Amino acid sequence: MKVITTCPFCGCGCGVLLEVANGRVIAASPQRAHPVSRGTLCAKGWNGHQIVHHEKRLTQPLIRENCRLKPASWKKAIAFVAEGLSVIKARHGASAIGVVGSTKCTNEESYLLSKFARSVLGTNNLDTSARYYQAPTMHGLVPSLGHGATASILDLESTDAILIFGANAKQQTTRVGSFILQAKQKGVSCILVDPRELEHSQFMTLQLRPKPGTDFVLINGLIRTILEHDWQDPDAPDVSKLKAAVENFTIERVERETGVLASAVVKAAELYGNADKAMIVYGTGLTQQANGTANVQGLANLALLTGHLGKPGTGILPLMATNNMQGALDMGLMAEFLPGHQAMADDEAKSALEKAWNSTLPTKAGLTLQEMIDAAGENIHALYLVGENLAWSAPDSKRAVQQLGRLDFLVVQDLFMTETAQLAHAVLPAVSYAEKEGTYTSAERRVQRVRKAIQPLGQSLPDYEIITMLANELGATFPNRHPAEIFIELSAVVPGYEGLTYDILDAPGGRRWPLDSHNGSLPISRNQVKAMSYIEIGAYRAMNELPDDGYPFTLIVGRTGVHRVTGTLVTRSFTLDKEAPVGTVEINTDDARELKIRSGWPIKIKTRRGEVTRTVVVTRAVPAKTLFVPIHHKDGLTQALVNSALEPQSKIPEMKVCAAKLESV
Amino acid sequence: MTQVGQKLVVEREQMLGLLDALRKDMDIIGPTKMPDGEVTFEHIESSKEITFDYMNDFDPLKRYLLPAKEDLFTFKLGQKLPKLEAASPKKPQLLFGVRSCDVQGFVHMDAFFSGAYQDNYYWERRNQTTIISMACNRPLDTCFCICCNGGPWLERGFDLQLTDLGGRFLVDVGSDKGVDLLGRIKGAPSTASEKEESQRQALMQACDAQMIPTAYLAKAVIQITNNRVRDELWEKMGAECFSCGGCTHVCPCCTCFDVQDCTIDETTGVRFRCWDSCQYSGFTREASSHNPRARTKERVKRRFYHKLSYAYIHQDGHPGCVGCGRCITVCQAFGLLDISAVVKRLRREGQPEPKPVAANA
Repeated sequence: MKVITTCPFCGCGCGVLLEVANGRVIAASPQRAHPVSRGTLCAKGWNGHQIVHHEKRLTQPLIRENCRLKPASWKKAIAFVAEGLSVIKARHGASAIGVVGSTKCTNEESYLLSKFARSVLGTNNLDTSARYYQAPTMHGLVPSLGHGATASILDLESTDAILIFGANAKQQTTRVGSFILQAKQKGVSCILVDPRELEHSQFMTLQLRPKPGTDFVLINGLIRTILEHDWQDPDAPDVSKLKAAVENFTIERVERETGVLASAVVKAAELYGNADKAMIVYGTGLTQQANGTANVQGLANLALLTGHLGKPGTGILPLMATNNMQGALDMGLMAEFLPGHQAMADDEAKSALEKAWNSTLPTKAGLTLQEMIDAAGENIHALYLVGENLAWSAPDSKRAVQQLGRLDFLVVQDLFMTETAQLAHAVLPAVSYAEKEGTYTSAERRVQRVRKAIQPLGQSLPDYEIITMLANELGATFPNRHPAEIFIELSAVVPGYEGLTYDILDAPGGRRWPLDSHNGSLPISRNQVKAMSYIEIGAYRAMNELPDDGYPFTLIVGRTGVHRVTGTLVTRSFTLDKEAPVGTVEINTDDARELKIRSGWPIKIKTRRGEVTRTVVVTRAVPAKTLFVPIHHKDGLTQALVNSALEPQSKIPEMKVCAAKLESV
Repeated sequence: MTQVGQKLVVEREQMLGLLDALRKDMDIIGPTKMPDGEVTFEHIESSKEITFDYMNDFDPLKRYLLPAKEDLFTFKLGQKLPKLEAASPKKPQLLFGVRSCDVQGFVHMDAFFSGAYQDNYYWERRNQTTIISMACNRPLDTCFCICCNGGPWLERGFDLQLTDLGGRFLVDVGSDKGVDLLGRIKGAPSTASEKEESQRQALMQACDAQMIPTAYLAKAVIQITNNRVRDELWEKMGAECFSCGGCTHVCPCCTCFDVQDCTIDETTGVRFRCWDSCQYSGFTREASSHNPRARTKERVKRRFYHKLSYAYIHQDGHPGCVGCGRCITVCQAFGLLDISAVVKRLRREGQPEPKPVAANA
């Protein structure tokens, strides 16, 4: 029997058919009728279902007694967790509790978690790992272009130029990578901005390879160049202030500070600025920086200036890397925003929410994810962690684990005994995507159905059930509801989701929110675009940690097709686990010659925070004095190396770039 | 007395009645409509669930002979020797409405799982499988079975082959199993008249004619067999490929599998086999971690050397492809790396430079 559902991995939101026999998921295949994936899947889509019946799935609640985690009934476990949280609240106040949701849970679950944290626990210390990847989008793109600013993936089929900033689409959002390659075959100009040579670099019209962390200078240089050559949209909003603001970003300065040749900057500006229709696609290469938010604001200015907004084949597409990162952000799993990206200070929004939730809500913005980790043991005494292997995803992971150890009470809700769960006082077993109903929202705001294929394994439960039980144990009256009913409530409360129902979402590919989207990349009209204004450009901030004598290499980290976040799922797929058995480090050919090392040799990479051992790959793909270390866990976590220093506006850690040294093993 | 090779005519209702009658003896698998409008071959309880409004299941039918994952045996460590328990026996099954390309895929799989080593897991299933195929009256725009001996109708490989004449079927009897089936039909099937045979011929020729022979495999087979393909083309293809493995999953002729042991607890485990893909890097990685095909380029090259080498034609009379066209839809490098595209590129871009000829020697 085939069950039509949505892939639980990246933000492309491909349609997957799960084959079910004798109550088990036995295979997966692509949904041909899906408007975006059209009968394709990546390696994760094809094999990811293998995690559902993994022999180590958590099937019963566990609570720590006498230092050991022991099986317990749901009744006992929920009472234990509720008691633990109550004690912390009584002793230190609600703001001593942090709630970390998941970018992989359904909208219904993220919505309930947001409601639980705010109206039951009374805390705004609420976040997800979206903080680590796309927080700048919420601070940079949304305030300028509006909630729901993202372009459609299918706009890539009708555009004339694509500017790709800091995203290895082929590896991390394969379907998007596929559309980009198809566009290139049709003659669309594709401009890649990445310090490294990627597999698809040879197909790009042009690649700019700026020094890591200097994209801010490049983006403003592009704006200045467009203005200088008059390549902007004649209908663009008044440019006089913008012109003055970018005056200093001459192409000479850009070349000097980023290393990108002036001629290449001009070419890129022309290809993007002069195109009839153009799009921008960006990823964590751009956001995980000291200027993460400013970078994204710069992209918004670029698009506004050139008029590549508000019509088909144009727009900006942030590549949300997980299946429901967009949904988690929409549902308000953020310390500083209410659902629908409404400001905490928006009194009207707040009272509407208080009315809907029949509860007063805390007013002050809470602590973001990294701030919660930093405050563990001091201002944060308890964490309720849902679907996030924080011990492996947090930057400066050795320290993060030490911090988690300082908590008085740690509750982990997950499918497997992750490294984080091993530290917990209580572990609550949640179900996989194949065992529950719900919705995911993809990177292009496409809300799609997740359909239950089999019964929950053992005693595991859907997150929405667990959250409901916990809320009610703490005195709330959350009704026991089918996700379709939770969705009805959230669609009335979350801006953008009005009018959506499971019936409407039943069609292949669901529906992009908002329901009454104008045809085009923004759910707003061209007139509204014309009424927008540019964002003020702040000062350039250098990366927190740059190479020096002690640590002479620039270290960049990134993803591969298999290891994108922590590998919690892919390492438990018997096919995918074979795909990247060891971690590597890319070292420039000239550096390798100088150090007298060869491909295949082990080498130790050290930063001020940690060390890992990796297998050398000698290549010209990385610039001189630069190392590229993909996310991996064998022989040390890549995350142990990276910097947790925060970009002040969006509080994203500067995970992309830091300083490292090499040592022989 | 019905014989193999005979052509008979059966009404649609008779055929559906047969399926319902067989239900108590075997699982019946036939084409059904999914909520999104696509078709898939599912286990059915009643012939009413069958749709005749279909082209083909995008999910290849090979899954009914070679599941994506199957347990081979369980083992339990004991006092002396471990106790092995074979996986559950296979049930009889009837596949109804299978297209010729997938039937030709079964022929290919039969050859693969025979020879020097008879794969008993495959054959236990295969011997319990009855095939009633359905020839195609019209092709999809991705079909090219005529280039690969894959259809639109076949001479052998089925137990019964149906051609839809409009509410009634012309039936080719392919085997003794097919003869037995017809014996269980209510109301004796009539022998096909000359008119009905001509009608079938006309339908098949019309289907044939509609198919654009996009894949001139012959030229590509010669190039590959003689190892005369420019390396630059493989380099390019290697860079284009997304290593999604879709092609190997949907191909009716792809049979590669991995065998793994899974530890359930301290004393029990299960050995299973599962589909593997030569497009994944783990496919031929060795225990030393050396990988003979570390680069995507080498894996892509290997696929087409395998599919298009003369070896299959020499051995089995057909290439390693049935022309079902699924790889055209499934490939992330759209229009670049499915077998029909590769065959075209080999022909157009793959020719090596001609050897320089000495002038005025």
